[in-house]
Amino acid sequence: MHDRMDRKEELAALARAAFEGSLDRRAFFRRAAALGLAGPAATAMFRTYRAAAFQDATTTASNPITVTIGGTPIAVGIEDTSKAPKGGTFKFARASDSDNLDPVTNDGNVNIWIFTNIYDTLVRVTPDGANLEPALAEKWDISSDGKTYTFHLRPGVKFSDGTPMKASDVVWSFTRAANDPEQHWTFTLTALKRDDKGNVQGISTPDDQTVVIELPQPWAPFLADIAMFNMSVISEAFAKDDPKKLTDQCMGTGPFALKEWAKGDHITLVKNANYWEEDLPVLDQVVVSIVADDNARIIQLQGGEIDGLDSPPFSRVDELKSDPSLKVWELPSTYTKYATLNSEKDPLGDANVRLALNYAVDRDTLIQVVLFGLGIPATSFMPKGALYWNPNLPGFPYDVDKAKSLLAKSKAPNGFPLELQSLAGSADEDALASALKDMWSKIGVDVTITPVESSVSTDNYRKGNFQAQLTSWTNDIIDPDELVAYAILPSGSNMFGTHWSDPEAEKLAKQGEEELDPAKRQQIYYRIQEIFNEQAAMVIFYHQPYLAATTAKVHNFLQPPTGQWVWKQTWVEQ
Amino acid sequence: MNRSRLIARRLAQMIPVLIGVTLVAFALLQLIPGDPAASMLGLHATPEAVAALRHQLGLDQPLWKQYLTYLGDVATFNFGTSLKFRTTVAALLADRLPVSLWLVVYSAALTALIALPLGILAALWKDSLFDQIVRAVLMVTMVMPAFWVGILLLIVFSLRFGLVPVAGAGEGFVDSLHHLFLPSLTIAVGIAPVLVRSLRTSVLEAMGSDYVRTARAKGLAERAVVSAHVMKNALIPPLTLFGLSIGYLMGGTVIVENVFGLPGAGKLLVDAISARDYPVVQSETLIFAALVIAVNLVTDLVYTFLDPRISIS
Repeated sequence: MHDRMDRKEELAALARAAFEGSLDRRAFFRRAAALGLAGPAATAMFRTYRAAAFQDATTTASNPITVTIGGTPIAVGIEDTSKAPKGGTFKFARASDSDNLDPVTNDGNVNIWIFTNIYDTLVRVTPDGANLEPALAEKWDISSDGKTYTFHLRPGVKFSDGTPMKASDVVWSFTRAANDPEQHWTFTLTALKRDDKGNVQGISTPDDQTVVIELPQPWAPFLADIAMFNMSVISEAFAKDDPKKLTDQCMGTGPFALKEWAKGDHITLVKNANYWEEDLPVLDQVVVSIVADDNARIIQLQGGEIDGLDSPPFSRVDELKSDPSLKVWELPSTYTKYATLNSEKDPLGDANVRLALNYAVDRDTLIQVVLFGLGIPATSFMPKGALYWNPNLPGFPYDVDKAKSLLAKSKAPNGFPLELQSLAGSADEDALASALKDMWSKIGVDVTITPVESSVSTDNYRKGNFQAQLTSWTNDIIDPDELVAYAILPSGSNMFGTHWSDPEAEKLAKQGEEELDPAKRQQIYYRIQEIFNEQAAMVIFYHQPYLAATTAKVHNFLQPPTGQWVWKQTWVEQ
Repeated sequence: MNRSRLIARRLAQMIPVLIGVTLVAFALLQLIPGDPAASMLGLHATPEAVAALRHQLGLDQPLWKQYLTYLGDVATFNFGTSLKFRTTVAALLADRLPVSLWLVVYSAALTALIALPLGILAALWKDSLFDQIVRAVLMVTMVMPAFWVGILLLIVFSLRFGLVPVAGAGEGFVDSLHHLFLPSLTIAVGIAPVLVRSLRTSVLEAMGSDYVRTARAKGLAERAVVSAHVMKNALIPPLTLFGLSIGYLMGGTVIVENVFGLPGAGKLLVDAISARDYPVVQSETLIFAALVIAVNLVTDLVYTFLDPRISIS
């Protein structure tokens, strides 16, 4: 045990030295060999840390991706692809297949994380998830009243079938996204002008390279909204006659094109030769296969059948990290875990009860028990580090006495029975629910855990058939409006299932949408988070990273905090 | 009655049984909570969108009407369109059913290969060390869960020794024999023990019977006694079990397909149930049921060859 620790420390020191550039190549390999690290593993480690030394410092500082190889974690950013060997195939395995690759009629990550490699949007999120940058629109002008957006399209962009992308494709795609009866995303489209029948208006094309969108009101999150995947630009010529075929056929301008989809088995993406970003993608192909069993995926990685896998179970991360032939990627995410409390069910309508439940949660222990240490305690319902996340909130430091005294002031001074619904078959939620049962029993809350399968869970959630339900959130846009509208404004979501409402928060949420001054918006969203915590609308737990494991030969496995896999800069050493 | 008439009659009997299966599958799906439209549209959709989709899918029709529509479709071999994958169920199954069926056949063959020699030898060498070991080892493999056995076999045979691939179903006959060996073995070691025990018992029983004593008294060689007289009679009870375990085998493929990442029908069924993908669940239930009935028919026919006294009527 002691020996092992020493070796780990020495490996860490070695990695640091490579990172700082204080060791030349030869010296590095000599010391690595002395630590029993040889061949490709040592090479991979050297490259990872040397590359990390040269990347954009701001990216690492604000939003580090952590790669662990041979037991040594280090923060990395995006490696320069100019020296990467061109071509190659990246074989990647995940637990479930996609079921629909249409960007509009969709809200499944199994789909979104794939088709965002096929489609582009006018504006896109920067890799660190903090800003927006031009994509299919090279630049844009916003009128002084904030109501008219003029997008100048990037010249020379082609779809993967070689046809040029025109302004009319943008109009067709946006109109369909807004009007399709099966479209899943209303919030990104609320800003648009509509006629009496609900059809979208105000989108025009003065010429083939320009799209003008007129809004009936100023809308602060508008650029963030149209950077979302449901506003993907799809080839009108390809899909106009039969948009339904977009469920399993794709035609976009993105770095990859769909080559084959053997449902339930694998999806093959192939390099889009017409892609507009110079020298990208690096890879020729990405093959995404389905291996439902977590342990079987790991065996395939160890056996060399695949180059990478999605979401290794937290319980096995330490073991994977200590393997010098693998890289474990911890990517900052906006994934946040909560218990939704239905305030229409007694005694959860009483804020003191909800506060007591929050203070009785020991978040550090939860992170150890559920995530094996790989998480950050949440102090706000908004994802940590996201735009307008309030850094001044203390959150709910673990305090059983305070929880008890809050409960004593409430409608249920001696505690109460609580049914907690969790997702059946989820190891993470099982562990979370059991830990909560124990923690809440200390303040007299008697928890009954009811595991329900996902479709029952969705149904119960919609109909309010629950007292408390474990739930989670990931931002799809970088603007806080998505989550705030979902959790605060009255809509089909019943305020994130809580049925809790607050007039001040509601007013602020609406102001935030139309206020164009960033400093004022910050104040608004800071205040909303304060109100949410004062009334403890939900029990907030933690933020957890996205996890992936690859062989040490894989570079640039990237996933921004909004979650999509970005493979255009990925490469695999031969 | 000759065999072809028997087959015709049994096939005709399948129809009411299968109608019963459609009714049960339909009713069970209605009884479990959860709504396919809500599953399809996810958490962001408005209640109006859910209602519109329910209408489009015909889920707002009275139950009896939904059932009759479904029955009419099945009668014309129209299995409908998957709600989750939005393609026809027939196309989905065309890809996956062959993998699962091949897995069932392969596992059944391996099961027989394991069970026949072990069961017979254990009986012939009753109470020997061999007999004791076989019984003890099989007791253990029988209670080991399939997902664990699968992982264990993968670690030993694929990772440690590199003898078989860690994934995939293979292409072509020989390649798939190679690829599907571990998955089939995983299923076989779970089922073989029951058959070994049954075979051992029935061989022992037959060996103690009067006709065997007579055969021996007539001076027949022991080999002839065992092969001609003991085996024919001793095979019937284990054969019944074997026929029944085919149904169990189909259940077994679900777990094994998950562990080995095989694109089979079992995995599709599990996914379909959680997505409330009614057309897929109903079609698969029906097809699996038809297969089990067919296997039982074949088993019954084999009896009549083994023992002509078994009445065909």
